[in-house]
Amino acid sequence: MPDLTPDVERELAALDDALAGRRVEADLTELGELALALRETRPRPTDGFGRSLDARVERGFPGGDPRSRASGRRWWQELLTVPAFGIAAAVLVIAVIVVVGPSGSNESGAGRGTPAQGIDAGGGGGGASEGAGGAREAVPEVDRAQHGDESSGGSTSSLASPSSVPPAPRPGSPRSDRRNRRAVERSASLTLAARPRDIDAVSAKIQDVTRQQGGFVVSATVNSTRGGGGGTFELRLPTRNLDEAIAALSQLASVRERAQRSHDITAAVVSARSRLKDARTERESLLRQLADAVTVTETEAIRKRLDIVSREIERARAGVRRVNNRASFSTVAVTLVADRSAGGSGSDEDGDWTPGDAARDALRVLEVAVGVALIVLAVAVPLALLAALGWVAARWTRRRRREHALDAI
Amino acid sequence: MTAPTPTRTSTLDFEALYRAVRDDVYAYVATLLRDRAAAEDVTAAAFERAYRKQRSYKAARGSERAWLFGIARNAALDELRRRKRAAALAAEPADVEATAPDDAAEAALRRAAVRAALAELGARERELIALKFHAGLDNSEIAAVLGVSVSNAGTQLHRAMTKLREAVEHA
Repeated sequence: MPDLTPDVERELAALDDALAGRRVEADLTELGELALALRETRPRPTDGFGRSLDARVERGFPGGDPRSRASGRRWWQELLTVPAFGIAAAVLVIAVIVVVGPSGSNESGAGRGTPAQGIDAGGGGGGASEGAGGAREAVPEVDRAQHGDESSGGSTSSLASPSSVPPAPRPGSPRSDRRNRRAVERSASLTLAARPRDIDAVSAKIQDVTRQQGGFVVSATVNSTRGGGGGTFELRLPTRNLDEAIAALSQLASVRERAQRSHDITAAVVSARSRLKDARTERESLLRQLADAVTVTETEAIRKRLDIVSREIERARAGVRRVNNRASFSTVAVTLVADRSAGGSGSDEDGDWTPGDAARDALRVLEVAVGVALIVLAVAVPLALLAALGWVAARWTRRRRREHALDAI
Repeated sequence: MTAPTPTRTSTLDFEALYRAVRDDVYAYVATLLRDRAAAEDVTAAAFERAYRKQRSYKAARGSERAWLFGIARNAALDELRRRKRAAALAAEPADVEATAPDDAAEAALRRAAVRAALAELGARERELIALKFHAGLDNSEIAAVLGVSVSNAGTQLHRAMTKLREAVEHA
């Protein structure tokens, strides 16, 4: 808005002079008189209203909020009519639900040192799994999807909670479902965190534990660097010692992740054994036929068939051995990572709490506190911005509506 | 009249302010709404709001009068919004002095012409006239009430006066 022109300023000054009873310039006398006439048309309250209002002021305005009487609506009802506020409120509610609501399926995954519990209903199994020894057990399982199923028609690979996602119906295996003695293939993965200086020692202990439990190391890769390092191990352990071995391995360093998977392969075992039995039965039959054969041609034909059946028997034996081995030995994948904040390995767990430990604990507490503060800020700041945005939008809209009401007259 | 119970700590002397501007607020609201009954209700509501919001007053933002007239203006505009229409003034707010027996006939005619011209103005112009001549606010206070600059308020007031003069001449 440009500054007032001299003429406008002069006329406005004349108005003020007239109202103040001062002399007005001759050419603006009419304007001055108009100002006085306007003042004389000023509406005046009645005495009754004046007395009533005086009394209310004296009593301190007893009663409710005047807004509810003046506009007929309460302030929050007024706010709810503002679209921007409505959107902001909806976003706020959703944000609160997301923040304070259940964390979902992550809790079913393997947390730090807390194996998730679950049961893998294998393709041929009836749902409950039994160990090789026949003892019924609840088998911990987190399927990491890298374990394919080649013999039992696939397996579940979802991380969703088994209780919330029922398995799809399967035909099962009539020959194996009724078996009491189940064959279960098990595997596990373990992520251990150790201080950088403990990487070598923990690596050696992993191999020691493997040997002590009757297993062997299929592959091992250890990388030890200054201030870091790590390693990966693939172990084969007798299934009967798997739980004990995992417990022993978990004592070597801080457990970051632990997952187990079990898979019922009873159907595959029964199938392999049946093939072997059928082949043996056929060979016995052929041997009887050979003893009764009278012609050379007949004898040769039976001998050829016997050779074929003998090779089938060898293949069937190998198949039975493979499937038995799957049940007898479990594969354990161990990943060793370096972490300065990790607890010490078994050799350092002597129970002493040194000043160094105290400093590390204090640092850890500070880290957690800062993390919590950051999370709180990450939630609070957007919410505050949304609330501020809604407040500004409400004020702006209300002001605009008021001004519009003035124009609508 | 005694002061209301001072339950809030405030630098605002509400009682003094009320005494000083009660009639001014009523005059402004009545001119804007052109409805005596509504003007009384809105005036009372404005003072009640101001009473309850004493703590929100900040001297740095303007004078007490400007603050109070801002509240009164919002209350009046809320009333206009609620009604969704301008209340036609069936009878102009009574002017006691206008009916005084010793009032000169010429002055009475002059006031009648001014009232008629005022009624022809739009609400915004009428509001400016009311703030200036009925409420007695100076240009800086009018600017604070309307949320505009002082020069803008002066420009708007000058335009309103120009329209009013033309309306008076044609009346």
